[in-house]
Amino acid sequence: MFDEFLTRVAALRGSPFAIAIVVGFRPPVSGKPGDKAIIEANGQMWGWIGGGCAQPIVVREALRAIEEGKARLISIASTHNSEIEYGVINYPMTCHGGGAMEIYIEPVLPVPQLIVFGRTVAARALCKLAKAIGYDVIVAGPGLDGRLFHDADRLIGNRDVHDLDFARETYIVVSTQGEGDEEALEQALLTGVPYVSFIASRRKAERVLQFLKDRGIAPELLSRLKAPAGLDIRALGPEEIAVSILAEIILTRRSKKPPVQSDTLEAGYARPDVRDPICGMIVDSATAAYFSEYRSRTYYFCCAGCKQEFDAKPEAHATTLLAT
Amino acid sequence: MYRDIFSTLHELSLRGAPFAIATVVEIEGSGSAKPGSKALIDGNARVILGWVGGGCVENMVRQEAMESIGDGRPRIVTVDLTDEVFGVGMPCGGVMKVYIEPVLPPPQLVIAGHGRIAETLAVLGQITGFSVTVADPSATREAFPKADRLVSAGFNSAEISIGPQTYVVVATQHKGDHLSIKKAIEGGAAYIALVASRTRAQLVFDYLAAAGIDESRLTQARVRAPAGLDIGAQTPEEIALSIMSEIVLVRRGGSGRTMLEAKGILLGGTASVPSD
Repeated sequence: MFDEFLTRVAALRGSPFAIAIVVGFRPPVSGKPGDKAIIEANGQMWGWIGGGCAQPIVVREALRAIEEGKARLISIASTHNSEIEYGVINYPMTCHGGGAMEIYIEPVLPVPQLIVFGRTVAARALCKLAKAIGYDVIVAGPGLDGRLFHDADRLIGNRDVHDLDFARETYIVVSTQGEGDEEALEQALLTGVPYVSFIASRRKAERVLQFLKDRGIAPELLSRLKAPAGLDIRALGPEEIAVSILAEIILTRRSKKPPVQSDTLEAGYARPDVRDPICGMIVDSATAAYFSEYRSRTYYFCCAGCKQEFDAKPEAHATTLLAT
Repeated sequence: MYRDIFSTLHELSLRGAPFAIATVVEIEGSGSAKPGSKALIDGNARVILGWVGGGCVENMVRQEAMESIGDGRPRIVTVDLTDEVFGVGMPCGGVMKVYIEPVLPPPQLVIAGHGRIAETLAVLGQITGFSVTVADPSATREAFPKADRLVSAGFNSAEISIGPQTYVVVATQHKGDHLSIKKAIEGGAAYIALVASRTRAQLVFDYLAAAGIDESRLTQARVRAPAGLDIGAQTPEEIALSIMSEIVLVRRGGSGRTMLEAKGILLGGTASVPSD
């Protein structure tokens, strides 16, 4: 039983759930101390914590525990001590048998994932420091040397991060320093995660942002960008810069900004400012007569010729879009 | 020659004493040194090895090396070899540029206590270039694999010495913490933080006042309790990171606000830009 429980718990790594354990009881109740259950974020319960009357209460409190990220002790009894026990949540016992039980419920939340774009020394420092505080780290970008990022959980040899699980708490830092800044930032912003930052001087950041704005990336997404990245602690050198960025990530994490609305994301690019990926002309997407779907994104063209050229080799134009 | 310089450099840095390296990077006109000529100057302004020119040049380089060791910043010194003011006898003629770089021992991070905050802080300190000492009877190598030194006699033992390059974090959560803070203040530590609840911190401050450490000294020492920048840290790892951020801030300066607020970018009026 216990082994199976731990196996289940281990298998759930990466998604939020709660563990409920019966820690006290007064007969007659069917749950015994040590009885335990796993409650997933969708309310599904696995395991045993006793009678039918306790189950809905446990599920409800477990979901709250997951939501708030805080453990709790609940007491289910037909009569409660009039003295208020600090921090204990009381519920009436509704099973006819009577009796009482105390159940400890603890949320288990997945560690945040940090996506780092780039292979710079700052990217390396960030990878190391984020691992030191227990985050999952994914490094993305062309030309990564696995030996320099041996502590990363995952390396992605290009900038394509779309198959990652963005339902998880995710933070993105772009540390490309001239190697495809625009492409990486566009990828990062389009994920819609609440924190995207760019390691760059203010001047450089301004130039790149203006470029992305001209490309028609939605202002709601652009306004999410933290540039320059980090806290103003006069960080000197890549390691201190990484410390200042992680501090900013924790600040964001604890101030709980909601992620960008999904309808903004679907649009991705503000209309009507979109650019023809072939000739670079700005076209009005609302009225454009020529467009193509590629990898769940719509591309608009000024004319049939551009569309034809795109359709012949969409992978080339969709990826080199920004280089033009 | 090069070999000598580099092996001496290595020895000096192992010894942990500050010194400076002077390298001639440009020379116009005549001079006894050539670009690439180097000298090592120790903390007492003595040239321990090498040559960047004699007489006036040497004096100037030694003087600048001392300043560089003092403020920790590299610099370029331009020596006008035609200037008679510095001359000792006949001027050589020409101009010489010397790059001077200080090599300082790493600052010390001394952590009193064990547990997850202390463990994470030790790793963060090591990555950011501190020499890390963990002072705690229960600190083990398994828990602190990368610490430079484990002192099982504890923070208040004679094995721990505190100076102006020492950053102290007291995370013992027990009765000895008031003594540790007292020791850190008296040693003139660069940074002193107490990981404790407000109630506990108040008890410690009351003790310090009763122990005769006057208020001005307490204010000057700026004991930080609660420790760390206010970034809403909750987990032990986050608390360690917030403390590390505060250490960088104390060491380097800065406002502690986000860079976006401090030096944010302007994009068609969508973001605000406070002036620098």
